Amino acid sequence: MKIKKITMNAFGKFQNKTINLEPGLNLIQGNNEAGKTTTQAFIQGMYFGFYKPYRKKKTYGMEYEKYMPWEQLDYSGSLIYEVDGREIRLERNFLRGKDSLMIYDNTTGEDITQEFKYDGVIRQHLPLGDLGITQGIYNNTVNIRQLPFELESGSQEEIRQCYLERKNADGNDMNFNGIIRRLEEKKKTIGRSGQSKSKVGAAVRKRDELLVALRDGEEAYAKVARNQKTIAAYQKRMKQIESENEFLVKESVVNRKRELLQTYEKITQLEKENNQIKEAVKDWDDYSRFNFKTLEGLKAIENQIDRLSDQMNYIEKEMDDLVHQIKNIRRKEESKRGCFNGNTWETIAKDYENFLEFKRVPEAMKEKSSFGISIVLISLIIFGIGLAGTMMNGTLPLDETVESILLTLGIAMTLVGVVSAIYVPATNNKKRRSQELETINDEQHSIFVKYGVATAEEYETYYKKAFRIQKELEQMKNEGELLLIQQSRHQAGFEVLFEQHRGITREFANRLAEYKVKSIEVYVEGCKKGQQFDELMVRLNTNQRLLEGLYETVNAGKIVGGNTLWEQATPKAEEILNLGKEIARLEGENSTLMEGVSLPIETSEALKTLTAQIDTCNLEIKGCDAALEILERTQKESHHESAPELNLKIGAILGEVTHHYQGVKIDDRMKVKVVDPDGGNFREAEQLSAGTMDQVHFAFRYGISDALDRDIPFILDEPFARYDAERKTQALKLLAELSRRRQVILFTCGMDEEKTLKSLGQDFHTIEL
Amino acid sequence: MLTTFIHTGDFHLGRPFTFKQQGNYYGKNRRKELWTAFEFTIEFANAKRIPLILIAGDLFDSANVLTMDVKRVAEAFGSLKQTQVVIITGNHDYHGDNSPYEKAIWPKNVYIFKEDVFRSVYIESLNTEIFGMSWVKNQYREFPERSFNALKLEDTRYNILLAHGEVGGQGTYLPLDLRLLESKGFDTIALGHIHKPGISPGKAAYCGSPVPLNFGETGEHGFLVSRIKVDTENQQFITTSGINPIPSRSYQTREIVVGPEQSYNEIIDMVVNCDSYEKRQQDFYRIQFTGFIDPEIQLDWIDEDLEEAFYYVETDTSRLEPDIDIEQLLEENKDNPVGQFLEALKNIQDPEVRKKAMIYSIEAMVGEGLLR
Repeated sequence: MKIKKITMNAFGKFQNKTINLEPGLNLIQGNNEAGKTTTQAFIQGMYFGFYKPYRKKKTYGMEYEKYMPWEQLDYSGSLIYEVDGREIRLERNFLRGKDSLMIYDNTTGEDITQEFKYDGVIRQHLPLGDLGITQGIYNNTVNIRQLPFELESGSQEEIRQCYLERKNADGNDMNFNGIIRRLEEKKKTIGRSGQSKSKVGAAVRKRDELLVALRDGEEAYAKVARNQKTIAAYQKRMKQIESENEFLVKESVVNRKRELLQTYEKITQLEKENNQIKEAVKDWDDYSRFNFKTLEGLKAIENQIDRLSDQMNYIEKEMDDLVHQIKNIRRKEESKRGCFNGNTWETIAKDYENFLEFKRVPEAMKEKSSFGISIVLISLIIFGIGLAGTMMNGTLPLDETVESILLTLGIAMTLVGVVSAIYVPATNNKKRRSQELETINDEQHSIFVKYGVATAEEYETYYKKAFRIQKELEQMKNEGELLLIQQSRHQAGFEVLFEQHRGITREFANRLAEYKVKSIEVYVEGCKKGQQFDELMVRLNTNQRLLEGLYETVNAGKIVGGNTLWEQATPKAEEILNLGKEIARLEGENSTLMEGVSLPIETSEALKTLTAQIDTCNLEIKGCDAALEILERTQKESHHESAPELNLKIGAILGEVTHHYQGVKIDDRMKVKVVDPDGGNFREAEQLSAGTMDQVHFAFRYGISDALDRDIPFILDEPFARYDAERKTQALKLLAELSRRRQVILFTCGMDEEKTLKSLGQDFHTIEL
Repeated sequence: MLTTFIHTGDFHLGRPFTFKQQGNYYGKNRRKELWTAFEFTIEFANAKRIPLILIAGDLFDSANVLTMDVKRVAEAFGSLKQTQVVIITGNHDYHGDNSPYEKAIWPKNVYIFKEDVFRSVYIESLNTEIFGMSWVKNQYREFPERSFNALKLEDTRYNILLAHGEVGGQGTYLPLDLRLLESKGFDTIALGHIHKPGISPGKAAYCGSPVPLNFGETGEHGFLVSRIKVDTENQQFITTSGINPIPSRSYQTREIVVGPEQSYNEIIDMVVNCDSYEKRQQDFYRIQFTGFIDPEIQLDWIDEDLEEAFYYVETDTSRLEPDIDIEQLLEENKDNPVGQFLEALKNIQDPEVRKKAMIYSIEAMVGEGLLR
């Protein structure tokens, strides 16, 4: 790749400045401030713009501001380069907000921007993107910027970075040790618990102190709290004593008098009330016996009496009904019996029997007749014996004379009876038979007359009717008897109830009599009065007790509380004094306790803040440790080659330039060391002169660029300022040699380089700025 | 008759504070400011002759409050000439062993509810009955519904409910069902526990913390003043409430969006310009950085650099990302050790450690010239 033409429309100090470059070695000369560094920056800017790499948002690098033209209206340029036989033109606008890059085929004028890799953050295409050349690689390999004169170690640092970038670009290695070193440093600034000088170390130390302070504070304040509790209790006690004393002060004569007066008033009032009560209950002693339990008993009895009366009333009613029914039956009997025409059924039956008898054999009539006489006689005998027996026993309350007469009459009746019974039947049998036969017809006729009938048939009809009536009468008689039985049962029941009723009524009356009352209503009144009586008595007793207390107050000089004034009057000065002393002691102790320690709440606040801070630090340390651990692991896994080939090459270049140093070594900390031919020891680059250091740098960059397998121009800005003539010649020789393989652009200040190159007979192209 | 009253609570007197910025005096000062707010309330009540102050719990922050502080409160209440004070306890100052309320003798104008069931106190001179419940333990999963339901309100009195709990909550902070509370017909429902003051369209109100206690407590703070009018026509009380602010330091959170083009000094300037000098020297500031920062800039010491510009400042960089496209870096280095290293960093388990490891590694790689 070769740069052919650069045009700075507006860039840094340049306005419309065009520089044409040739293949091979280009020597761009200019005095100080001529714009050499600007031109070099322009080439870099044309390829990459001035943006910071790997950013998520487009961020301008510091070069942007540095090369901003004064006018600030235009900030642009173009660059034409040739690659693989194709001429490409870059047109870039650097101005913020308008920044853009257009890529054209310079031969056809075709816009070929889209052919190149695109960066989404800066929103531009990358001309060298396809070659894998990033800004970092470019700056650390082919683009050698002016070295800072004042900082020798700066060059060492730059070598180190170039080396790293080269290695990264090759994908071989990265500077593990450098990153480790930086992380360790970072960790040191955070610090560890054990390192007292660090931020976190100090915090941990402070925390430990605070923990002790907190413990001491909490203990002290706990003690303070306990003391305060005791003080509060003492103060309460003191207040109590003081109020008692205050009470005593109030117990002046006036107060005492007032109290006595009040007491008298109370006494009078109470006595008056008691008298009233006594008057009210004067005749009420009896009522105290009245009680509601007895009342309940009385009420129960009264209920029983009522129940019995109800039952008796019921039975009486039943009995009345029965009497009525019996009367009805009697009346019916009477009317039925009217049909008998004043005869009894026995007469009618006997007459009918006679009637029938007349029809039958008269023999029967005879036997019957003598049988009748016999009965009369036997009755006479029995009666006589009975009369005599009774009189002999004297059972009846009669005179002795009457008794004797009756006894004689009895015996006479007995004797007459016995004699008649032996003689009458035997003498009269024959005569009576003939007489009776004669009278039969008369008899029959008289029967017909008696019953108002003419014929035997009519008599038969009459008799049948009478017989039916008789049957009905007999039934009525049975019914009547049944009713009588019922009546007698009710009667018996009624009598039992009556007895019970009488007994209970008597008991009820007796019990009421015990309380000298006549009715239960009066007893109820008594009960109420009894209760009132009890209440009044309680009141009376209470009043009595109050009175006794008041009498005592008045008489013995006591106060209502019960203690005598004289007891209370004894001042508890000693106790108050002791309490006061104890409170003062405790308060003293408290202030000492609190003086020595910090307030726990404040200590714990400080602790919390510190702990949070320590936690943050620990998190940061953890972050460092995690990164370090991974780094070490990655380091072990990757092949850590120290690029001996490169070392050899750089060593050879250094040898050519210096004719003195030959061997170069870059150690694992990316420190460049050179082999001192005098003794063969390695020497740190810092130990070399500034000029030698620049040469090492040159050798290093030259070696790297030469080793870079991409065809990129090698650009150097005043690399030989501190070289002696001989070494400068050697270096230029090398550059001339390199320019045969790739384009070299060398910015110089003086004319030395041109002269040397001419003297060496090298081809080169000179441009004056 | 009650004409006006103060509803406050959640003072958290004696509260410890945690500040990220070093220095004991922030907590100490804030505690002093709590006292100033308390005394402001007392002075207001005295000057305006407010007849009643309601304390809806958490007057003290814990049982560890100093005896002298409790006595100080008792004394302040005692100094009120025409004001009755009714107190319930909350989850911070509950009546347990070592209750802060046992540390002082309370003046006669102070009534403290002692039980964890609803009781009432009737102030005859104000024709006002206050129904309240105190905490006696540090957790309540259930509302004491039975005792609440048993409450009987007299229509002729002004009835106030005083409770400390969480409306609609389901945890251990005494869940309150606002509809149930309102259904009883109280003239005012004075609540405590939630630190943001709020007045519901109904009759309930949270007084909030009188001054903000942390960065989460923004907005206006103070105490509620309620005024009562009697609507004779409808025979009811009409209560109107509003916040009376208490002057105090407030907590300010500012988000500062950082861009990768910004330098360290520009970032500092942005933070300092977030508010006026007076405000910065008055309030507590938390600076929340977001966006992308140039990976070459480290904010390790930014707190120290901001210290003078603020009374108090703390910064949070957890949401700030270094402006490095890790994916691109990985893509371009996938075959080399840089890629392997970055890939391994991505696999660190703990996200916080991972983020730190990544930032420090990038810092180190930038330092080593890898990402220039």
